[in-house]
Amino acid sequence: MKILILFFLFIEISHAKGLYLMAGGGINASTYNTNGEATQLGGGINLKTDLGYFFDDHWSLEWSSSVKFNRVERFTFWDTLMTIGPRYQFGDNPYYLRAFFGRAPTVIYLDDAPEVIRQNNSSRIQLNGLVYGLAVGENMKSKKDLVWFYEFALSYQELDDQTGLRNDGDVPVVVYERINDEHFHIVSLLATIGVRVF
Amino acid sequence: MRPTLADTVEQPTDINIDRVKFSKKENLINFGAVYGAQWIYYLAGQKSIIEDHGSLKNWYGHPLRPHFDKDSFDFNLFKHSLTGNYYYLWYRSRGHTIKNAFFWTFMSSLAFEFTIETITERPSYQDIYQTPVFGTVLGIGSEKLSKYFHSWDTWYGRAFGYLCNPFTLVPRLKNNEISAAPVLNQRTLGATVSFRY
Repeated sequence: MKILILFFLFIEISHAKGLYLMAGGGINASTYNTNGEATQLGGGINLKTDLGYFFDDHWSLEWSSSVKFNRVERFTFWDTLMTIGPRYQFGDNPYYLRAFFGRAPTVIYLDDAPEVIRQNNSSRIQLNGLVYGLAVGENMKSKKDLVWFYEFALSYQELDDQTGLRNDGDVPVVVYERINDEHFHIVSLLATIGVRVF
Repeated sequence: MRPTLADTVEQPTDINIDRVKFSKKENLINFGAVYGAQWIYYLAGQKSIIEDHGSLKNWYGHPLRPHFDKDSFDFNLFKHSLTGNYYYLWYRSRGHTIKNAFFWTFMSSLAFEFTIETITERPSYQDIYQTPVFGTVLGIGSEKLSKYFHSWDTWYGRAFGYLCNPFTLVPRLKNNEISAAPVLNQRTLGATVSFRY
């Protein structure tokens, strides 16, 4: 909440100066691990946005969202990586580095799952936990002065708590909650291409 | 020959000539119009959910307890982005620059999350971010596409243009090209609307 307020103050004070928004899409490959063993490999698409504020020519602070959709066996995974972190833009070349951390709700849809997995008639499972990551990318400029970029990122998600859900109309209803003790985590490699929106 | 999308997107139109300065009164009216529309939408469109899950206690207690919501992706990604898209297009139609339209889209989104929707649910971190950010990205695309369709200068081009950005109708309202008259009798309550385009 404090981070949210701080970030909002940045927007209010300086939205005419160093604020920027990057948006793009790409692909990812993820491993789904339990108790230290890689159990599944999945792939899919991802969409990401970075809302940031440049303090000088090099440093900025970003509030980002990276949405991943992956298909793993018969399940669809939907992750939303909500993170903050610094970006360092190298002064004499177009490359940059980003670090990010935050929380990442992960939703697993159970439409095609066997009855044993759909505990208490749940239609999806939401898992929550921390996410950490690093990214490296390059900014380019088109002939029409459009700034575009490509980026490679590595993220690590911990999935600590689990909630079984079903919908009552548009309202999600919690049907069970539990803490995961299997050290379930996701490691993802993401490749993204996008543009600077403003 | 039809103009390309790139030919049309940078041309100013009569509905969004960027302005830097806005008076407090203008900002209040623009923001208030969205805020009023948000209340109307919420009270009319979410009536059954409010009856089942809403309370006054929620309304003043929930704003202090934001969380990660448990909604499905059709809500979090599509419906909220579409809503943010309309906020953005509204502020652009009032003459705001892209950045300022984003700023006001953010404000309107926060107002909804923290002062309206709290009747039934806690503010959501995903919605706080994604409604204005995804909405702005979508809105920039909608605006460009609308300009492109309008540049065809055909009836179907204009129809698509209005569909992509309904606020391109605003200048028509000013030029009295749209008129409406109420229809009232003992059995019927309605209106007839005529639109020349």
